[in-house]
Amino acid sequence: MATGVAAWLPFARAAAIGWMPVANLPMPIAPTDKNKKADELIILNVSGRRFETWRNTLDRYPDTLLGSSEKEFFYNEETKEYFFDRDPDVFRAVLNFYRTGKLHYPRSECISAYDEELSFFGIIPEIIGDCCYEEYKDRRRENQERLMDDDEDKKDAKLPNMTFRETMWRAFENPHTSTMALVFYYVTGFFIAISVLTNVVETVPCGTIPNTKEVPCGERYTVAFFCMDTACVLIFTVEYLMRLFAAPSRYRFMRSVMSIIDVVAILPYYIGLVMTDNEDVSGAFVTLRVFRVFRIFKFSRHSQGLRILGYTLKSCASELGFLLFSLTMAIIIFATVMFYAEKGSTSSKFTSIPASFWYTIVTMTTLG
Amino acid sequence: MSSTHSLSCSSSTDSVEDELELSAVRHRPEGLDQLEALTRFNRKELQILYRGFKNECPSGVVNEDTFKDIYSQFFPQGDASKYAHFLFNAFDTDKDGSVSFEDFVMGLSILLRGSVQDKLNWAFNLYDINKDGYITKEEMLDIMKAIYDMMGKCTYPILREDAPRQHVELFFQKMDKNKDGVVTIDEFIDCCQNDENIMRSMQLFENVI
Repeated sequence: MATGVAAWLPFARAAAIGWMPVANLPMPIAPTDKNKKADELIILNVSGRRFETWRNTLDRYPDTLLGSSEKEFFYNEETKEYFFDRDPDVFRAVLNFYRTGKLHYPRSECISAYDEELSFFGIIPEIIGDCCYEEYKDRRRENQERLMDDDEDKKDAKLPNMTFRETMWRAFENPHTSTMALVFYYVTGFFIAISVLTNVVETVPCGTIPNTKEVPCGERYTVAFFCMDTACVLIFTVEYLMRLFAAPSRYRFMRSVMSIIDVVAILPYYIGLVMTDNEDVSGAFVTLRVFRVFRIFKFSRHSQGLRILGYTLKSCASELGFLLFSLTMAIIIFATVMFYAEKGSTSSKFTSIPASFWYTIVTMTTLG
Repeated sequence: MSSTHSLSCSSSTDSVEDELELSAVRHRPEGLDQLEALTRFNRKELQILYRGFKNECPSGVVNEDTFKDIYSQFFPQGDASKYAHFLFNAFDTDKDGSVSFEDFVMGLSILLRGSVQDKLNWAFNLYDINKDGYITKEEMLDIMKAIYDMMGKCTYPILREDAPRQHVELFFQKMDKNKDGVVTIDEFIDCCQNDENIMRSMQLFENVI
């Protein structure tokens, strides 16, 4: 029953007049409160600040410290008051809970201090009113994340008796833990850069063989580029296998985004090795080389900023998806309209609705 | 009755401000002395009653919705809103749509401290919905249905659909002496005073506060 409503009990009992004359049997006598004393004021001395309230106010919540007989432990006989050596500012919120039935979270208080006071006075935080609940939850979450971060930092100074596998995994995840890890980190970074560079340089026109047109460097120095590519892929393969070996949960590692990027980066090379002699699929093979550009995403292990970008995209994926969807809708609508509008004229380029898609996209993105 | 529908403390002539203030109707009750004279409660009891009243209704008056709300908290198992509606009309003696503290405490004074005659009078007033001095079968049926709704489905034994109607028939058989289809106040009071069960139930109201 809500706090203040208890004071309306005499009214509820009096309203029984309504069904008394129609009842077939006499009503039972209401229970009388034999020990009903007159209500008295209690003084709560919290670190020197005195709060006074009616005893009945505190009795509203009998399963808290102030509402039960637990407060007798804090009774000071000489001064006839209850003394609590706690924070008076937070106590204000606690006492207001008894008075109004709503627990508020004072924004200026530290969240852990507030939680401690609540647990001291036996009040569960879940009853915080709607007005303050969001703020409370947010602050609590922030605090816990900060605690977890602190824990992680402390974890670095860890136990000496980790298995070889665990040491390796830790070296992969936190390069600054040992020199070997740092060396490995820089070497792989260097080779990613080299690999991306070779992919780019391969296509640069590189002087002419006499009597023929310009050729890209890739075709002129085929062997050199092939060796570079092999070296890089070897390094990447070794790295991937080592990570796979060291991972605490191989299945989870194989499903993670970074490992998929690794696989996609090195797979074209192996497929190319297998397929070089077959004329028909060599076209497809050339297309596969495009995937080598994904090696550049391997840099995200080396760059926190890139990872953050990835998380950002992931977290607003639904909004981006909606944007794409609404654009698609608009494209379809306008393409249809253009197609039917130009249907009559013979020299129209809008031969079908998909053919008008291109025009619509180019116009909507203001490319022209 | 000094009902100060005060617009604001300072004399403001701004019409927008007036509109805003009107929504916060404040009502200050008569002084303790007058209330003591009007009712049969002593000062302390009035103080306790007012504190509870003001806590739940800071503006000083109860409107019907708050009334229903408070009442349904005491009877969660059924739908107490209809009965609360009739109760509200019975408490609201000046028919202004809200129950002030004076109305409230005067009603309580009659119910808890009044003579048997006064109580029965009040009950008759409650049953007589249109306040014409007669209780008809329709009025009684409404009241009966409201009471049954309030008791909810958790009665033992389970009540049947036509239980209210039967109950009304029983009531009229008992109360309507001259069988003219309505119960007047004299018939009502007469009959109740001769009924032992009802008289015994009146004892219920001792020691409520």
